[in-house]
Amino acid sequence: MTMLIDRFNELLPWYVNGTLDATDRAWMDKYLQDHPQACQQLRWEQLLREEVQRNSPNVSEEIGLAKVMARIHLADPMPTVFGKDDEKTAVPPPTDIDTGWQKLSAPLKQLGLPSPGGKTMRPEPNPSVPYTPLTKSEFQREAIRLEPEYRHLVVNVAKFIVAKLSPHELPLFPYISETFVKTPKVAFSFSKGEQALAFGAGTGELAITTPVLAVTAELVAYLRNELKALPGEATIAALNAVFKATSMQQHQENYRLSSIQLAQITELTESASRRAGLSSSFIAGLLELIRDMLTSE
Amino acid sequence: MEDEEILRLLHCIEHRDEAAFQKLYKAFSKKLFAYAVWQLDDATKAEEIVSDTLFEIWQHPTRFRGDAKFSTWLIGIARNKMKMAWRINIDTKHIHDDEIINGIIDPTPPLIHNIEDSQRQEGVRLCMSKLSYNHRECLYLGYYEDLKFSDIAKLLECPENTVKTRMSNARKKIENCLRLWIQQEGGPDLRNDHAY
Repeated sequence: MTMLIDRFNELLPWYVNGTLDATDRAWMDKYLQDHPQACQQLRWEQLLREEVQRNSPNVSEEIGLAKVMARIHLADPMPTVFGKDDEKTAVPPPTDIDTGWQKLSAPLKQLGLPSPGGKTMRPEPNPSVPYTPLTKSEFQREAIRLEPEYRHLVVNVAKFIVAKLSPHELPLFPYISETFVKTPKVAFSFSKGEQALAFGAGTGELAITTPVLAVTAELVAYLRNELKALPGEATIAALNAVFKATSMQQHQENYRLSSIQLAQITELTESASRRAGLSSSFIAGLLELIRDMLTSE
Repeated sequence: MEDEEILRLLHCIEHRDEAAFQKLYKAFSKKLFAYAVWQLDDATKAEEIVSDTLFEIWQHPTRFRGDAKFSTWLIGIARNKMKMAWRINIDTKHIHDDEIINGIIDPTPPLIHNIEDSQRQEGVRLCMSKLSYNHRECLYLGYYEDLKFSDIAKLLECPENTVKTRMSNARKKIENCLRLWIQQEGGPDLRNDHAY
């Protein structure tokens, strides 16, 4: 008898939600017919299911839609970053600065990078200008020409990440980061993708340092753009505060990122990591570490 | 929404059709929000999960292969995002009120249908909120999404028997909690008034 009751109780939820197969359903029908008192339990389950269904929140079907559309418009240039746009490197760069370099100038301006003519364009205090990620070729040509304090931050943060996720690469980190800052393309040639680590020796030992530097540079560029509404030197101070986990400085002012900024950082990091050739499992660890860095008290 | 329409919209999204994306979004956002807010008990975080999950569809519309219902597949994505983003909260959530929830189980059903609708709703809602993350999830998937236990097992990546046990425990805990709640609230003493 106990076994029958146990089976009845086990099958009851699935009988109530209508997903039992024919055999089990027939068994339940028969059981209920033979044990009328069990109908009480059936009724309770039906009411419980009704309550669960009734517990549905009353929200608009457009909940979060505006935010997603904004992200789509922000992210749409990204498929070309480090991707198809790379093919453009085969085409000689246009010589007319006013027209041909226009595309490059905008992101450079946001980053405070040198213009093609060599003159540094300081970012204007206009936070409404969205961050536009660079293409791989643009990135390799120009991205590391950040002003020294930002470059220093990129290297520091990347070193922190490498120390956490692939510490055996640390001895070569100074050399690779220096090369990356001078000529990113050369630094990229060291990296064969972090999956090479699985095979042990050789170039695999240099697997993640360069991609991590590239991802970090994009991350710093994004944050710089987000924080540039702050006056003067406050931007770099805020950036240091954001990355407080990597900084040796004490008593920094606490700067909290919004959940939307964190979401965009997650998106950007994931996207930049894929373009840089990092594997999904590594990206998961990297995202977790970056989230910890940015949200730790 | 029919499967054919979903596939058609996904195909359009692959070609960066924003209108198709918005249509798909509106068709599934409420359901996803219900799941996320049910699990997280936080509307702001739930909204983030909805937008994050559906943004993933915009980015990778071809990843859906039709192995499961589209809504179940979406819940799987949302679930992973929740675990990644709020792992600590999920593991430690709802561990309070163990006394109420894990007290001695009375074998009698609480005769929930004998109390007024409003009281029943309040009591059930309260008791559901006190369930553990895993029990809430199982109850939601079984009674809100009306999924088969085998589909839930696939989604949660656990054995079918685990799903059955979690569902059974969730129901027992709600019954027990509800009975205590009714007693505390001065409702009918159900211990002496049961059918079997």
